[in-house]
Amino acid sequence: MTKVLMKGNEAIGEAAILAGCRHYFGHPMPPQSELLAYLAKRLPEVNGVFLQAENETAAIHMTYGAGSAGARVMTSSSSPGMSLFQEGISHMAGAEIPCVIADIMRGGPGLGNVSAAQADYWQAVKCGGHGDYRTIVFAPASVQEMIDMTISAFDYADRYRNPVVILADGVLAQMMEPVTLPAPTDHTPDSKKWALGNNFKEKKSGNYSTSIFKAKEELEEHNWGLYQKYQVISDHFRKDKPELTYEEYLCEDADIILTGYGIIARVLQTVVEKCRKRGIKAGLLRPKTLWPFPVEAFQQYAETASMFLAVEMSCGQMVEDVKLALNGKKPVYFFGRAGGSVPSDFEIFNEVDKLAGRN
Amino acid sequence: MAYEKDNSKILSETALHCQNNDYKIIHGIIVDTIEKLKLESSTIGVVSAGFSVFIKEPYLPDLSVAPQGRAPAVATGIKRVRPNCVVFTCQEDGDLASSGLSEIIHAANRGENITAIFINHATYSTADDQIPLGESPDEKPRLLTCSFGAADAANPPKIPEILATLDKPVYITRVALNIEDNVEQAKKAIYNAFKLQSENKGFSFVEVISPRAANDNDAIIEEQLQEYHKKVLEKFPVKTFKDTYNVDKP
Repeated sequence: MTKVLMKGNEAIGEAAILAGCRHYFGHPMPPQSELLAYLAKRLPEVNGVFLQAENETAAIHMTYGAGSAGARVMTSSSSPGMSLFQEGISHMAGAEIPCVIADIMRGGPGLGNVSAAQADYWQAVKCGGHGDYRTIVFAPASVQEMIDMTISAFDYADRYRNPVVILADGVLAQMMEPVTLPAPTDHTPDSKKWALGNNFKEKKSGNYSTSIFKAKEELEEHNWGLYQKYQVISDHFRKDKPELTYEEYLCEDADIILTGYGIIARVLQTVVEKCRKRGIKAGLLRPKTLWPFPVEAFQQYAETASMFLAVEMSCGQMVEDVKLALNGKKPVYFFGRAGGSVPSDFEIFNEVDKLAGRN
Repeated sequence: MAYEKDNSKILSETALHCQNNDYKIIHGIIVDTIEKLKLESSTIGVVSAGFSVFIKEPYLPDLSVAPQGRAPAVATGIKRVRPNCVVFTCQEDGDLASSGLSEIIHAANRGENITAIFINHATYSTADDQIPLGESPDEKPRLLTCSFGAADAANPPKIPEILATLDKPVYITRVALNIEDNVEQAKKAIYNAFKLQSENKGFSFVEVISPRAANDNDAIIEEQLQEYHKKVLEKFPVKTFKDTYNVDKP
């Protein structure tokens, strides 16, 4: 397979096409706008549909419609647009409509700025829309992973009929790296019997797509059904595909385990190497899925490491899940930069050095 | 959840929340139109939660229940995946003209090849047992009255007039169901709108003026209906505002 140099935003777009996605609805917002520009050019080349919606609210509901009709469909935005997506994501989760949503995080809250950040963790992982629902959340740390995880996202969206989120930051989206593109896969909306507009002639009554269940008993039954599905998803990743959920580096004998996702994990690897050279036994545990969160991986090293340090480009969001995973077995510390700043390996090392001194 | 078969139970449950006899007429016209144009195997509806009263009809189209205001966007997504299907939306005024004003205007402005049916009670987003601004709740059988003039904040916009200023829509009309002639005109308008879409002509829009009962009470007296239509049709006249392919002409 040939290696090509691609920007993160473009890689997500190309991966969507390789996964059989032929429908994209979105609205430009930096730092994800190159994704639209790329698909505006590429989708017509493969007889696909690119539609720049009037705003993100319309884009997510166009995505809802296309997903209901059986298409592999994607939308994307940056943080403020992701806020506008929440209504549609809740409805799609309720109606069990598959789709892929890429959030290229920027600084917030509010308009914030267009610099890279990781402050949408709670929104994406804990679900910012209303109701009891979950979305699978992938957290790539390289342009190659943006490709691989986007393709996986489409597969899992269809497999579990659920929205799947690619949660990346503006650094990953804007940087270029050499990548290997896998072979394309075909997909047809006609493969989904439940989809609107499918199998008209075989049916006695119409297919029906909804998230409304007016009788409370029906809604409760539906909600517990969703909950069971989320358990199945969680079990699948935990038991069958743990390699998709986390990556570890020098954790076996680590005294201090550093953890972070996305671009931070790249910085943390440098910090771990620097620590090792200075005689500090540090390791890196990187979540690759944020939901389901790789709880067992953290619990495993709770037996051997003496402490954990979560590093994020926020004031501390994922750190809460690290604490939940460890359930008080070992101390969890936090270091973060906010507002669009990326912490340097130097300042993170200093933090580790201080913690090592406490030990 | 997207159901593969037998949505009649769900639809009947939903129908319990619809207390407007005009819905039955409008749904009847839509179903008749689908049958006349032989679109039974290619029609998808996008409706609001309270509007799905296709129960008792011999034919059920595929249906999506859209969030309030978003039906034109949902229909756009469906149509772009299923260009050979006829995709229609049904929305009331609180749905289309209040929550979803942006979605309907932009779908029309794109010339999306869908058909939008707009049930206008002229109550400005008032639904179910809510009351219009300026009115007090009571238990008497009565209509939700047209709330324009009740307060500055409750002035239902004239949607067909607004959409007719756009370049792309091909058919924009307003009809009513208060007298037999108007019902016949409504049948023709909905037929024209679906036919234009099935011929890939572009965006078509039919507004249907329709009174709405307050307090879910059906016992509306004829006098109230006449008063309602007199008041509402003065501001919202029955008229075709855009007819690019001259389908309204005899």
